[in-house]
Amino acid sequence: MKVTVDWLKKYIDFDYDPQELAYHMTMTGLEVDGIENIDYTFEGVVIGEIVKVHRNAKSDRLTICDVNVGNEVLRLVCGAPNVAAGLKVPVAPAGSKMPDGTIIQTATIRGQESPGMICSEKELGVSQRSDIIMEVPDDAETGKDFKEFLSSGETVIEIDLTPNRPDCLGMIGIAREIGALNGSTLQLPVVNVPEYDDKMIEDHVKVIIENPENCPRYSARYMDGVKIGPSPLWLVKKIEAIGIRSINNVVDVTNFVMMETGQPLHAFDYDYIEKGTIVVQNASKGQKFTTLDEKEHSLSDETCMICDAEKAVALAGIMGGLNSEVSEKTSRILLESAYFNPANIRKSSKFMGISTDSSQRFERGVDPNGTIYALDRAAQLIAELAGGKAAKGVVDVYPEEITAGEVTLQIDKVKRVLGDEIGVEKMCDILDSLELKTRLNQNRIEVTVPTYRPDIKIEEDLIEEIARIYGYNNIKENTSATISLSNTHNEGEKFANAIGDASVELGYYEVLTNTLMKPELTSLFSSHEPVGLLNPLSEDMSVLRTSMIPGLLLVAQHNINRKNKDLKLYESGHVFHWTVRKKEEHCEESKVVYLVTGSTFEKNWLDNSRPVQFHDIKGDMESLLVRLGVDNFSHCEVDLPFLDDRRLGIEVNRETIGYLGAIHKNVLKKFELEDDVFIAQFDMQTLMNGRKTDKRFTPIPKFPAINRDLSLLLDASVPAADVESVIQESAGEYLRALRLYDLYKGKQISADKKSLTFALVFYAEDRTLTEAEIDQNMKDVIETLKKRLNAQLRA
Amino acid sequence: MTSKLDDIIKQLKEHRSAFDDELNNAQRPEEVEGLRIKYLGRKGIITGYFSFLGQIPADEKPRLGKELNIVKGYLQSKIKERGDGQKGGKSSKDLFDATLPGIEPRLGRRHPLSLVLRDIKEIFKSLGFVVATGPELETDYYNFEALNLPKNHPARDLQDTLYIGENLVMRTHTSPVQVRTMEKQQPPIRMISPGRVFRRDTVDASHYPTFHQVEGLCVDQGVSFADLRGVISAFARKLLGEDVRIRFRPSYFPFTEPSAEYDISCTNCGAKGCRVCKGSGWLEISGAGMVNPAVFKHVGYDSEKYTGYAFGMGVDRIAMLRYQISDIRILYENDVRFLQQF
Repeated sequence: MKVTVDWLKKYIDFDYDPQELAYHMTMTGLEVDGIENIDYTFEGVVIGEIVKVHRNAKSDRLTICDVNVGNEVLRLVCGAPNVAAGLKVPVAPAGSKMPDGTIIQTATIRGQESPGMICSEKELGVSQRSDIIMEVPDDAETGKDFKEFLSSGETVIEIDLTPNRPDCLGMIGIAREIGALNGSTLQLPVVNVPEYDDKMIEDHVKVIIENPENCPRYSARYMDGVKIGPSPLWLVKKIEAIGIRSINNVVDVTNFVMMETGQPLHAFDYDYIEKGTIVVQNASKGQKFTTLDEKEHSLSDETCMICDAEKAVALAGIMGGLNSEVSEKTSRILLESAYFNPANIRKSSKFMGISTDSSQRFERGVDPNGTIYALDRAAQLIAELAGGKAAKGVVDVYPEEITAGEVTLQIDKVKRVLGDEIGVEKMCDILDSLELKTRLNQNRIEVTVPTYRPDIKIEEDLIEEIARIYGYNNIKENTSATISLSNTHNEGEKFANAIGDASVELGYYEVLTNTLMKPELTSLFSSHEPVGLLNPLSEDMSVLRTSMIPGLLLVAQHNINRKNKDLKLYESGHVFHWTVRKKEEHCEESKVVYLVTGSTFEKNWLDNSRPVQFHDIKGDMESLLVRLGVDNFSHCEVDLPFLDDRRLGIEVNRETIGYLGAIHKNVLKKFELEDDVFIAQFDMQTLMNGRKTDKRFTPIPKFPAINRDLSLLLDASVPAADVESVIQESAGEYLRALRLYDLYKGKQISADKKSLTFALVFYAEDRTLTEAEIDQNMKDVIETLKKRLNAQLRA
Repeated sequence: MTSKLDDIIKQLKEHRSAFDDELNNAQRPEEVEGLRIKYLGRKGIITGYFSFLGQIPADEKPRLGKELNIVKGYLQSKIKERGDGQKGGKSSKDLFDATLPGIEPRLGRRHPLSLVLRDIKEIFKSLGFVVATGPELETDYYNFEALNLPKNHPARDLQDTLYIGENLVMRTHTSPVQVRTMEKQQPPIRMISPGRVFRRDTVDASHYPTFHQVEGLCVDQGVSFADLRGVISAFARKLLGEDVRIRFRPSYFPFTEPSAEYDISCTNCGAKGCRVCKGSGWLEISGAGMVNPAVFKHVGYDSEKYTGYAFGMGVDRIAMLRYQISDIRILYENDVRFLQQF
């Protein structure tokens, strides 16, 4: 909502400069978004008075005008039809600058020299009107700078209005707020409609409301003898300053009164209203209607329509119809001022995708008892500016009166809610200043709430009114609080933090990617049906991620394209899919995903790095699990189409908690990635279920350990884990650690063989072991390996 | 009884210490070279021991091999050290260069939004709040209706919503977690709900369709607007510094009454007015207010007995202010050159 300072001053006295006004409005609930002075970009244009008009002998269209510009009289050539002696006009003498940057020069037109020109509104950038020269009000001072004349007092303040305050969608409502701030009294324009004595409204207009639930009130007037024409400058200036285009005097008046009172109005060309009858009813489903912007709409059976005896003539509360629009030929009008059901207007506006100044007001709730004032105000101004007279009286169909509300405020509740003491007298003063009439009744304040404040329904609403005028920042700050000791801590949150800490310790960068993604990305990584948006912003963001892997791959792609090639990334977040789409049943799960690609580290002057491999991420993930207390995991098979053969599942107590592996070449190609990319994923909930929470320390050995190495020659197909488990089983109770530290395949051994070397650590908790007993253990190990895995000791 | 292997290992040790003595006495390069030939040459002492490998039992071979390699490596490095030092005419110690770059460990990083969120959570935990989380895909009921935002309420326009189905939406705020908590638990309640939220915003420098919020709720007997002002003020000072100032402005949210927006004094210019605060000296953070009795009605709380306050804040916005990031998109681009700065 835009307001201008001088428009507000018509209804309320105040001395605030625009900055102060903006500050006070913001601090009492009308947030000011911006202050701007209307800036016209022309220079040097002055107000001139046409003294004499000469016809140009060589042209029937051009005239020569003697124009007094204060210090001299210029002889100017002009082609506009509305030149006349006595008319005041904007004159751009040679040397002045137009909004497009053109410098006006003396020109010779049909043999007549013209040291400047008389301007149209379009030439000055005031409006789009170009068929006539602009007319300046008679009382404007000749010779005065025109820019100064136009912009005086026109400071525009833009308010970001909250949807609960429809009363402030009109200047009068905002003026009332200012009055509550400075104590001034609101001055409403006195309305006096020129009416015929002998033409009765009943003889011209009949109104029937068939759906009073959608249209609780409909008021109308009839006027004739109206002459449609351009609006006077003061009116154009007023409405255009706040962003409404001037159309003609009648339409401009309806818009002006809407901006003044907040009540939308509509003027119909009476000649097109069949039998002078207005029927308010719901449309039939699929019915077509063309609005005055020449767009055709398909209606629903909930759309409220204004019809005449035969056809629809307006979308109630939203926009008039093309078929009954006021035009240059109009002389008889039917003026509508109604109250429509806010929810219904909102529904229709959404359904048709049209939002207008009118619909925005109706859907927030205009004053049901303000229709007549606005109607009369508009009739008065139309009579003033476009001539004509109104038939006697108004038609006012208002089957069930909506009355002012009564809200009772418990005085002690104010302190309970605000936590500060505000005197009863102060409370009453504030409410009264907002025209919320108070009656003190023992420990209660009874308040009458006018119908233009539909936002005030309960006592908390009144407490807010008191608090905001009193000043939120005048309420004290409590510096102590009562804390409940029974609050439980959140296990899930704690676990998520632990995962984050462990991941960072392992060298991973946390990333945050978009939940919304392209549908084709989801199908590569999940067989689940993705959850789609009904109103996506774009195809690229039209479904929810079913997996976080594609998001990480996109991050890898982004970085690799920018030469950041060594990546260790992780993200924890939610993934989604439908379980039963028809019933809107869905699944939302927390996952944590890791990605590794590039080199093990950035090579330096001491060490060379190498490309990362499957066993790098495997090592990271196993450390992570141990770190999180999930140390009783084991490996299992997984079959995932986006991974190649290098893959492994991880389970705890026979429940799969995650997997890791290398992204398949075909998938890498889709992401334009070339190097190996390894990923791992865990499900947060199962991971959390798999952890041991009773961590106990293991005593450090008191007696020395015996270390042995074991180098074996094996068939290349024997898995390392099998060798490990045989060693574990056969090495006896004192084997405390077993580590594979060398793998050899190559020239020194035959191609179908491999060599594995293990380090074994033995110790006892209660004594020093002898070399001899360990020799025996080693013999057993070697025997068993030979028998079970056909392993040979390697020289 | 000692095995043959142990004997050999013992002998190796003796050779090694003999070598050390001889090397110490050697003055000229020729002498050092002589030692190399004596111990490591083709017929050298140590080289000779390698032939034992073929003579001992297979299970002892790795141990001997290892020992031999250790001794051989030791001798080689000692001889090399002497050679290097003498060729340049300086000892190796003089060539040590401390200005060579240190070897950087490969460290992980938290995302800046996580860092800010962690700070926010820490502060509220210290003020007695618990952390609660909930689903991102919410029902219309929890996201709107239970928060006094019935269907076709004009205030639904305040948040442009991404709809999933007739009754499903991507949550536009984390307030649904508060409703879910209140449904399960009677007052007193003192909680914050951090998390990802969604709006149907076209991507630009200040909008991204997903972002992060923390919302707080406190319900008990005697909780007031003055308490809300105190908590927000304490929070802002702990997060942004002791001299930060807070102001409350009236606003409108269907779930609170009275409703407020709160601003902090500009952290960039100290409230003097600058580009960051658009000259106003204040930075808008988010909304707050006293819980509307209509919300209590939905969860079955007695609004005559209990009052409560609620507040919210944008984690992205605070992170952008803290690190002076002017484009929200960089937060979700995850360029490692950005991430490694935190």
